[in-house]
Amino acid sequence: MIEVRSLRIELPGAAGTAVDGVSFSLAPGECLAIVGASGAGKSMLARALIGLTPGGTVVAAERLTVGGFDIRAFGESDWQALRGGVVSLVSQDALVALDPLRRIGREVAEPIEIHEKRMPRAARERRVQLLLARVALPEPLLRARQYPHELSGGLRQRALIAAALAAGPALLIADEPTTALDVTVQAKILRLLAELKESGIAVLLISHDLAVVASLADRIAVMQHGRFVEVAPAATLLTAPQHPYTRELLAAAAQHRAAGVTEQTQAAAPVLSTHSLVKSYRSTGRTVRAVGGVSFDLAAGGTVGIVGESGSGKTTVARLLLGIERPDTGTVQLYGEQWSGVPESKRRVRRRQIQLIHQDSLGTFDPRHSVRRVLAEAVTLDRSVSRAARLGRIRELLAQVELPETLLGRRAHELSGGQRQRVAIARALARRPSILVLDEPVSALDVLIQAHVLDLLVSLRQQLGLAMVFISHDLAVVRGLCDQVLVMKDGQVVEQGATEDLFREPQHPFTRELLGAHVAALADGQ
Amino acid sequence: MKSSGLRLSGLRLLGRLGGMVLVVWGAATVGFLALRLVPGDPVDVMLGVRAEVSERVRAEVRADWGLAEPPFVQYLTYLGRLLRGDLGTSYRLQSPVAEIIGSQLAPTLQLMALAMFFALVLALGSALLARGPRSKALLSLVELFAVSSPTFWTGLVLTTIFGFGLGWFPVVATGGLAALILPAVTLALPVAGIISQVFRQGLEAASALPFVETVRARGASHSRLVLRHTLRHAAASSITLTGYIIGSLLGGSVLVETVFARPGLGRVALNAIINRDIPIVLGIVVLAAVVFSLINLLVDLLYDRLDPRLATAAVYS
Amino acid sequence: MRRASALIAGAFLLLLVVCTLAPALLTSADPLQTDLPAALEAPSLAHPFGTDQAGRDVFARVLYGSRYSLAIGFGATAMALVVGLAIGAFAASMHRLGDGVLSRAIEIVMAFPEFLLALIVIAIIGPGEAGLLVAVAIAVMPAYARVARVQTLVVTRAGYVEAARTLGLPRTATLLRHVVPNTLGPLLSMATMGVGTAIAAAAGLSFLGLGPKPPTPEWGLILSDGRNFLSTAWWIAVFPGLVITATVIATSVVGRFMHAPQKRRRA
Repeated sequence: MIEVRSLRIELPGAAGTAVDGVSFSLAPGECLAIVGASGAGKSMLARALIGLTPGGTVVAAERLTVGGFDIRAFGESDWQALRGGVVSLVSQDALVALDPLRRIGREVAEPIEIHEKRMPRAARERRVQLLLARVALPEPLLRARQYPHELSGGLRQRALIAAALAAGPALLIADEPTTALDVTVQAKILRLLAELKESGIAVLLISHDLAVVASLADRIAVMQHGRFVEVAPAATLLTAPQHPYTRELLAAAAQHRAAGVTEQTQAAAPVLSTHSLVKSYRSTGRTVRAVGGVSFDLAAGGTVGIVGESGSGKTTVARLLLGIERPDTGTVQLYGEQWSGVPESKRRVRRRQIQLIHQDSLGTFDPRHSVRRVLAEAVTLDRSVSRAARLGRIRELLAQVELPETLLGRRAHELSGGQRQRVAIARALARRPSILVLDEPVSALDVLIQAHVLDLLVSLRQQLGLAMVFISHDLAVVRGLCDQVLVMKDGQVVEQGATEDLFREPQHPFTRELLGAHVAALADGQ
Repeated sequence: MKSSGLRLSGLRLLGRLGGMVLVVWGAATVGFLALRLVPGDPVDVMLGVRAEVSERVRAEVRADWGLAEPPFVQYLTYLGRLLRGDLGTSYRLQSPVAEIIGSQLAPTLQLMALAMFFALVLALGSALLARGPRSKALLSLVELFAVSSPTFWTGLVLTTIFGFGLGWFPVVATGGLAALILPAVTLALPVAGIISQVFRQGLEAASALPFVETVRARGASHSRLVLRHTLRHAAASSITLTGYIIGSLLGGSVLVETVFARPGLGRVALNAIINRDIPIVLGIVVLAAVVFSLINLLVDLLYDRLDPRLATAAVYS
Repeated sequence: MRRASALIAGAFLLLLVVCTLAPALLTSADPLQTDLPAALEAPSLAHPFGTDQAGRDVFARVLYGSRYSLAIGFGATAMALVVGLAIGAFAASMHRLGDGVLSRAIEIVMAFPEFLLALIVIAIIGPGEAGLLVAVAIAVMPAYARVARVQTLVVTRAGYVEAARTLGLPRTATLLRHVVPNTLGPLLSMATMGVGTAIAAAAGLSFLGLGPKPPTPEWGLILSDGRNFLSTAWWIAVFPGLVITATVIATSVVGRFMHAPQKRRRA
């Protein structure tokens, strides 16, 4: 289906070489996964196969065929015939990958209109219905008339796949097809892709996550700095990795499962405790209960994990813990003293004890302020640091989060995602807190960067004796880090207990579903 | 599902109609209040500058506006008259305001319509044609000039060049189409500049959206991409300008009609302002409020059709 | 490129300010001195912009005219900015009902185009220089009020303001360090662009005879004079118009340049 020998891709300007001497082939009904961190060149490789590299890019290869065509000499009209008809692309988030102003049916019909111009309208509409049924989109007649934003993430992704299949391509390039989805939905989309593979379609799967590709790929290529560092059958690569980078990636995926959990909670008085927290929001007349009865105790140096899918109320819990929102009923106590419901002026003097790290910290930095100013503001609040000692303290904080001092002059939007999270952590540490609330602190990052930031958090916890509330949708991360877990669904805590018990014997069906999806994805990697 | 959607859009339509009534009522009230704030005898205010009129006319003014009554009753009388479509009487010109406006409406509408046509052709044409980086840079420079030059100046320059210099067009209003072209172009230029800017930015923003890659990956040609996809996004962003555009055409017509010595609503308004013929000014304010709120209503409805996300967004926000 | 054009535009505006403060530095001619034998002379070294129907030097009249235009442009914009900011911030700080009523009122006024609004205000308060200033200020104010309201709402709910709160930063420090600068930034670049619009609107109004009385050297008035001599003396109308256009372009170039980093940071 695809034959590539010594492919090089040069980007215009300072970007340089994106892909450097890559060779592989793909047969019908086969799935090759390309795995690597962002910037490794995997997306550029995929774009080159479909002729959608940015302007000024140079693509050169000894051999480069797709579906039997030599694409090196292709002009725009050749590409237009190939795209959609022979090769199709499924990209990350269907909310933005589908034209938001057009109905699902129109979007799915478009490749047919392009490649089978003479097909009568009625036949085309029948085909659209069949395609929607093929990707198991419930109620296809209704869905065809809806717009992308009216569908859930999983259904939207199915519609995107249906559109990609519409003109009967033999090859599907799936670029991070499940990254934007919750774990349980991820598993379903992967199953759909597996069915397509069974039916003889070749799949080129691109992902940053080994766990995702493990269940689908026949062969896996690990990509780093534009090169394939290792290509092997999936089972071999996952069980007997040869290249150090592959091992690092595997370790990052497995780390969460293995990382040392702190010894079982000390019996000391809790530093933070919540009792039956309830919070509702009004939205156009309806009242939505975001959080319905959350209770837990956090011991000094302990870590509580809160797990759930997006929209389950996790973030609201974080805001209640920080005292940014008032609970409708229930209480939060900090060191045994009332924390929720007291006036902000009383809370302000105690705020230093509990600090928050967001999923995406970009918005939490004043866009006009440099890293130096951001940290200085937090350090200045610390009375124990004299005016003269402030710069020294800022340096100390940077060293604690393992950032070079050269970043002091940068503004938040000039930092990478990982650097930003570290600055956010440094700012929180400047207040010398005893509790950190972490709301999906690594979800927006690449796997490897994720691993590094998690390592940092674990070591800070040990050094500084921090207690943590760790909020995540990722069971693996929570399992490695927490000694107590709450599972949330639609604002309710469906299960709560010691981490090991909960993972060994999940009681609630939803917990089992979450775990099942998680285990299925990792099954081949065990 | 469907019926609730229908009921919802019905409710929103009702809400918007209510908003429209509110705008017109607000404009009428502000006009009335402003009138009462003008120092001097209300009768003199109504009569305008150089009002040497008989006591009979003064009595007529008092009766029309119920000036013997308390202010609140005057206000109600005024609103009642507006509701019946009676815009009052210009005592200076000795005829009903509605009649004066009606008689001068046609030339201004002609001018605005032709200007709108020129502006759309110029703007859409140039935005669609300019595809390379160099032609885009040139276009944005031309746009900046068009938007920044005051209409009264462009009018004079065009007259100097094409009227006096080349003699292609008449320099005075003859009533024919030839005499309409220069004024319409003058009025159209800044509007074309703005439409072109917004439309081009809309097209560029739309072609940077992620779905464009999906569409191209389906094998769509450039023209299909523009015509079936991005054009609609750009149109949705430009359509909100409609109210602003009609507004600048109407405001600009005051200047253009003066520059080219054409008859029309703009001249009526200007003369009313200079002579302080308050009933006409009030009439124009109320009329403008009705026109603008009608346009905004239409734009809102059109925008919903172009961007289905808004209809649902309103429910959740 | 962007920087260079912003520099040129800035230099032009600076030159205008010099004209306003000390026009005699740039011309020895008196803008009001009539000289009938020298009427309607074409541009020359002695009269760079030519002379008008009364033999007055158009160059001097344009230079001296910058005083009126800039005073009205800056004055009206400043008034609109201050009052608009006050109204907008007040609306944003109120509860649902108050905010709703105020923003509805802003919308009502914004339904009218600026120039028409200025005309209506003049109709009520009467023509003249002071009338012109107030009319232009009122006409452009709703736009500032609206942006100020939205900006205040956005900034007070921004992540960095919440972060300052969780950090334990006192209220006043948060307000001064984060809320005010981030609210004011976009308004100031908007105001820079607005000065040009205000100048053009004021010139338009005095072109219509609603501003200062002749023979005051004011850009709109000079243009209006030149209207009667288009076939014989194009320069009377063309040069002041060119200066108005250049001023509007300069303010929008500088305003866009100021706005660019804000936009980049938000992206």
